Amino acid sequence: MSASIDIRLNRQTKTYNENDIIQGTVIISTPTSFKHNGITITVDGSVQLHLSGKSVGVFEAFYNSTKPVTLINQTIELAKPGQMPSLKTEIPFQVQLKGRPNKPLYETYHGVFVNIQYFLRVDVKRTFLSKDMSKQIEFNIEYGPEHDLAAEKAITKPAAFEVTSESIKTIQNKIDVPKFKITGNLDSLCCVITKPFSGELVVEESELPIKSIEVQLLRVETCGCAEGFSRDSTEIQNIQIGDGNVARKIPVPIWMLFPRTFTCPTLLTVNFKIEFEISIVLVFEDDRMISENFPLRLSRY
Amino acid sequence: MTSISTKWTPKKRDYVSEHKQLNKTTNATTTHPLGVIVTNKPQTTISSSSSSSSPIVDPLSLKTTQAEIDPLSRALAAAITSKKDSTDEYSPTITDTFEPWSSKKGVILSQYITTKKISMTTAMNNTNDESIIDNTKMADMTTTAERVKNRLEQLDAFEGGQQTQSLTQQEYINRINEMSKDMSQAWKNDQRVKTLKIAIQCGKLLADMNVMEFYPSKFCLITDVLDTFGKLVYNRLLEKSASSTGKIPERVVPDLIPDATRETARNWFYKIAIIRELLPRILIEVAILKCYNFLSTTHYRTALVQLVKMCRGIGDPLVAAYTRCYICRVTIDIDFKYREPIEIAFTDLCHSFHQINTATVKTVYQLQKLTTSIYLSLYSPALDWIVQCLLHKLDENKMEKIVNKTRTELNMLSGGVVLNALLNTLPPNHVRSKVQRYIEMINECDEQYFPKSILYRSLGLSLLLSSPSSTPSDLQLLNSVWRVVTKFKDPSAYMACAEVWVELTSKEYTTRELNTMLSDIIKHLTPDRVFEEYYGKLHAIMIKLLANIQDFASLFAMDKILPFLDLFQREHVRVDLFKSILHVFINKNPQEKTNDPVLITAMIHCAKSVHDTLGALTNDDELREVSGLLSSLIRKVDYGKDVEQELKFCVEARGLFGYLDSVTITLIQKVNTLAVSTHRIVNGVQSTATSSFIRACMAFCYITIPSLEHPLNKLQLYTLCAQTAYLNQSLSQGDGFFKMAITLLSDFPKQIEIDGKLVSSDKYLYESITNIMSTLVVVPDNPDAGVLYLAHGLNNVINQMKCFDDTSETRAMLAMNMLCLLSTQIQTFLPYHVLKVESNDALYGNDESFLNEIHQRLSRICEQIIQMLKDLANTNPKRQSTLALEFFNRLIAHGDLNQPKCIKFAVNLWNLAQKSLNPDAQKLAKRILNHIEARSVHDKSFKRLSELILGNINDTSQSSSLSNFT
Repeated sequence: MSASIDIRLNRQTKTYNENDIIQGTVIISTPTSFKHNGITITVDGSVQLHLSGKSVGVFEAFYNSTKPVTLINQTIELAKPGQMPSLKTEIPFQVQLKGRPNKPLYETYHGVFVNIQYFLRVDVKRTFLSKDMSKQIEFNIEYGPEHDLAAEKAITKPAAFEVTSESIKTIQNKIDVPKFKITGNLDSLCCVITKPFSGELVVEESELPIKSIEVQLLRVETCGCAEGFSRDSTEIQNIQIGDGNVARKIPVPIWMLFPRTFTCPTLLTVNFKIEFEISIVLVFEDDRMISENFPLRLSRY
Repeated sequence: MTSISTKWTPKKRDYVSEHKQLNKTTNATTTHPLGVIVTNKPQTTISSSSSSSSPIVDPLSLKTTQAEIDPLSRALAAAITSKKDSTDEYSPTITDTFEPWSSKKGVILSQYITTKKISMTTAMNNTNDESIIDNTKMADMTTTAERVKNRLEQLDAFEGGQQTQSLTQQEYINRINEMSKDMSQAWKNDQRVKTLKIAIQCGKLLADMNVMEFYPSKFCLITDVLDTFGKLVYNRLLEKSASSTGKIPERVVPDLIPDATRETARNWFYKIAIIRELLPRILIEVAILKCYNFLSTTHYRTALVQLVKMCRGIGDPLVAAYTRCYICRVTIDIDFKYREPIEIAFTDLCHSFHQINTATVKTVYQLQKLTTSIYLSLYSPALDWIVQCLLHKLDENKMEKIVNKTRTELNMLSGGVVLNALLNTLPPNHVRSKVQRYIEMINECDEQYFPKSILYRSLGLSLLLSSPSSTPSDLQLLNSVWRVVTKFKDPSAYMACAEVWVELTSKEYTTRELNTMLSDIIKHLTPDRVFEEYYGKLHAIMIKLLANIQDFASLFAMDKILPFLDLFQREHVRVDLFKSILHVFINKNPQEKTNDPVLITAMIHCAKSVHDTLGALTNDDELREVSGLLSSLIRKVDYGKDVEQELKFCVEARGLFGYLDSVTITLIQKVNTLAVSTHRIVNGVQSTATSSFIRACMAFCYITIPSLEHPLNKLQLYTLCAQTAYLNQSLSQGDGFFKMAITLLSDFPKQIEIDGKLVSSDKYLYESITNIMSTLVVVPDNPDAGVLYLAHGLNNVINQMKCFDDTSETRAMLAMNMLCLLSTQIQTFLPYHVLKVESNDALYGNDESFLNEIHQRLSRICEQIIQMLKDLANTNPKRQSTLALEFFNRLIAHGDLNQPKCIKFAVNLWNLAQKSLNPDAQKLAKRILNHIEARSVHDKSFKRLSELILGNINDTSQSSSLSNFT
């Protein structure tokens, strides 16, 4: 058995605000003692940008220039070179999360083309004959109430909507649309990320039986700069709110929790944007679909 | 006293003084050996007075007739009364409490069943190995992103291999149980993802609408699985919160819950929130709703309301109804007082009934060949539950509001089914107080949406649960209901109501109304012989009637009861019904007898029908049951002093129930009892009328007994009848019975059947024949026949009987007993007499030739026995000794030991007995020796005998006893 390293954080949620101090313990267990050339702990945070496949042709030149944007990179020495005793060694540590000047720590976000991730890494450097050891864990960043980017609080922005076969016809120029009418209202298009997205929907009438009514949460990620950009919209999750031929004229609640780490407060920066959209999808029994999109602004508070 | 000196010379006995000596003064019993000790109960006077009136008093039965019941009879009585209580199952106290789901579940599971194949779409069972790999994979995955991705992959894999099976109901149930087991197993192995997946799968099954009839049962089964899942999650979280303090907290206080636990709980809810499909998402969240307690004290409230509202998104109204029902169940479990979600559930549910009219829903249930009303009745369990939750401990005002609201919607589709739920769950006392209004409401409902019969039935059931304000109840109520019910064309609807309302009538109204109801039922069921389909219901009605009507006679006095019984035309149904009638009749008042001719005729009619179905194919248990029933019935008939009527009844019964021997036996016993009670009535002095009646009784027995099959029964009954005949001074009849008995003995089988087993008849014969002999003591000789004609015949038969084995000692023992009988006959006064019958002692008056005859016979028999003993010497010395001891025993009791020959014979026998005794016989020998010593104090001959015997034991030189026999 070889040596193993583990990092334990004192905070169970692994979620921190900027300027918080991460406290934790590095645990190294080894059956035999060994020499090392120093142990360091590194906080690493960056924005990774990718381009979608379909955009590659257009922006090929640009493609190469999308380098990760480093948000934080701090290294602290935990131990000077020396001997690591056998069995278990626990080294407590603490690191303050402080971004670079003018670079705030964005919230953790796992997307498709944009990823904002934070890692805590322990490196044990060893003599040149044996391999270095390292262990990395991810932790999450959330804006604190005082954070600059959290300054814009959510304002309730209700939205009512009405979708009818006529409205579809005029927009899409389709003749073959079954007769239906859906009305509804969304409690707010400006949501606090920890609170559920809510609203109501009424199927006033529908000629064809309905198969399903779904609420789709979409992410709209934009990568680019002054020269050009790629904008892609992908699905995060799809929640059914109506199953089968829903009763007419009864308000069906729209209710969805925002999944953690897959969503973050709407973020608009110079070289990338993370925005969200809600789409209400109506599927008829013959699998024809009708959807209505709404832009959504998320904020932490 | 006699010139013939033999080894057996009977001594003279003075039975009166012997009797005096033996009969020590006895004390009257005051306590039952099993009874409770009761002090200060001066009942001795009563018992002594009653004992003087009847010749034999059984102390046990004497005590039972008095107020103090012994514990066994009391337990029996308690069992009977408790049975009565249980039939009266709806006591008002039960209705006050909330009917728990567990009891409801049982009803649903038994009611909603199907024979159709149910299809089930599940994942293939290929995930086991995969999940194990997952766990190892899981360990080295660090980021949430990776983990989630992995989980999604797993989920895909899980959903990938779907299969659809057609299962029978039982297979389906097994499958669900299997899933539940798999789930617990996965949980134990720390495969939480798999556990959740199984739970989700279960949830999905509830969306499947095929075979709707089974849906309510399916719901019960699956929610059980979900409940288990909820418990697993909750308990794990509870354990987790314990780890910091060391013990599991009794109450969950969110502030004291460690962060780690809260985080896990939150994770669970986030995990569930991303379940794509609506129904499983709702169900799973409801299942683990209790876990909100770890996060905050009130959050569950908003969650519940939200979840109930989310049910509106479920397209199928039936599925939505049951999902709401599940939410209400969980609500009641978590917070009994929180009504908001229940109210929403109720309102939404009422709204959703509009959907039933839509084409989509209609095609769904019409495809499965269900009518609207049947389809609607599928809602009942869910609706009943929701309404029960809603109404529980609700104040009158709110209740009124709900009732009024329902009333305004009665003409709509939902009206009937909701009203039905209300009737099922409203407090019965409330329903009774407002019964007129509810009848009106029922009339306002639209028949095509919900059958009125079910409504009337529910109303009736509710009324049954509440006690009436007065008995007989308001006739108007019955009239207004029955006016409608009687117009029902569909017999099944009609019967559903009739079943309940007849029960109500039988409980609260007089037999007049009941009679009308029954005639109405007959009228409805007679056309096209529809009654054939409702035997079960009719039977149930009859059982209710029997249970509710206290006065059996008045029940059968109704002129419609027999036509009603005639509806049962299929034989086995009819027989079952009659059996239950007989059961109730016999067990209702076990002590009570009856002489009501109508009732008896009715019962005999039932009994005859039951009896006539018996045949060679009937099994033993059934035979035994019917025999018991019929015999008990016969015993219940008692005409009191009208003995002739009773005999007539017995004659009739004999003709009717000839197939069952045990019934015939009961009849013979009953006739004997009749004869004896007549004897008691006339105080032993028979007039011409009574003696001819007795002769009739005896004649009845005489011709009935030969029809029996079992020889032992015959023998015993012959003996009994002979005794009864002698008691009633019918000497020739008595002789006749004994002649029959003796004839019967001559070819008695070697083995007889007792309790279904073949047993050697030896033991029973010994008892019976000895019994006959002791009766023969008082039987006077028939002047036309020879001296001791019967005893002689008996003796001959004993000698010739082929049923004894060569190894059996019964023949020898019987011969010895015969010696005793003859020795008694010699006495000047016989030990006992029958009143008004002159026995041989008076007849012969110790006539010399009579005595000579007896002496001759005595010595002949004695020689015979000695010969038997001799024969045994070579074959079985042990038995020889035992028999010798028995012989010795009888000799010293009856023989005259003053005769030198006699005493010598006795000593020889003793020696022979001592040769090889088995332990039992040794004990007997010891007791005999004690007896001899006790007697030797007063009796010289015994003293001499004891000297001889004891001397013999010391003096071994005495010659072998065997040589002395010759």
